[in-house]
Amino acid sequence: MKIILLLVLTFLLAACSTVAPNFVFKEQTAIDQNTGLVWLKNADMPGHQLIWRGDDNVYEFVKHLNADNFAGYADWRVPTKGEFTIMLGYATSLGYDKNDMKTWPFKRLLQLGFVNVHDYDYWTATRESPSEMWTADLASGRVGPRPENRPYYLWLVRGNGGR
Amino acid sequence: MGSVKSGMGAGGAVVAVVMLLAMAGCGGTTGAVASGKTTWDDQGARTLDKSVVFNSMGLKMEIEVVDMKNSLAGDLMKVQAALRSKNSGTLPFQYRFEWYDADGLEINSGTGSWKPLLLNGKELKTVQGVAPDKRAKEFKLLIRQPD
Repeated sequence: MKIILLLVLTFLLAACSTVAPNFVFKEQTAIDQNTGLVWLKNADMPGHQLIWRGDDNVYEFVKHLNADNFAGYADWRVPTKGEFTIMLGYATSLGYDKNDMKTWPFKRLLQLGFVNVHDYDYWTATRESPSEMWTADLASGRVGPRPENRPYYLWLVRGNGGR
Repeated sequence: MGSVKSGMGAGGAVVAVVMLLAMAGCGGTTGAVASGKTTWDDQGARTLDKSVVFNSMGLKMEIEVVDMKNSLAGDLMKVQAALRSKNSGTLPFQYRFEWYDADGLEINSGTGSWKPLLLNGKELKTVQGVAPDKRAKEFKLLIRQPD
């Protein structure tokens, strides 16, 4: 009996962890009703790519945004690779054809209501090695390690999506 | 013989000049050098790699660099160092900052002037410096005793 209960619980947990986002758009944010994770509506708040180490980097930008209490919150952060994987999984689940740019993740996310989404790599907060960070490619939907010493776009989240 | 003596004299003069030049060259490193280089940690937060090197045992007995901090004043690197006298009497020191870019090249080479610093017995004082331009990513705080 205990084993059955354990299996059911495991199944439910697995189901919860893969549930698609259910976004409600506000003026500056998009809230995933399923997890409580809040994404900035603007997928490029800095307006340009940022580096990880150096002047005017990701860390400094997030620090200033939180100091400004942007959109009423002071806990904005870089999404994890898991959070971006779910976001892009959802975008590709809406239909993806590599030969049709209109179906690429960045276009799907624009269609959903996000703005300034680019067909390029975005930072995640997940480190792969001393010289590599995981990034999310919003053109292909790929989430994987890339060299840390290059600039990528920054899209911030807040809250704990439980992922 | 006279010409030989004269030749040795010229040689001696050359040696003396070389020694003087060498001593003058060494003069820049006599004292202490407290240096810091801006780096960024794995999170991307700005950090300071610090080191203190004493080239004079006498000075090492008289003063210690207790702490070094850096921050930004606008775009400019700002440094604060806390210096403490190890001596119970009042001692005069001199200090100056040198600034370097990310490649280790000195900015505005040779323009920094020595400033006086008087420390009373066991006194702790802070000295501050602001980089001359935003390229500065590294500094050296040179400390010496006046001649």
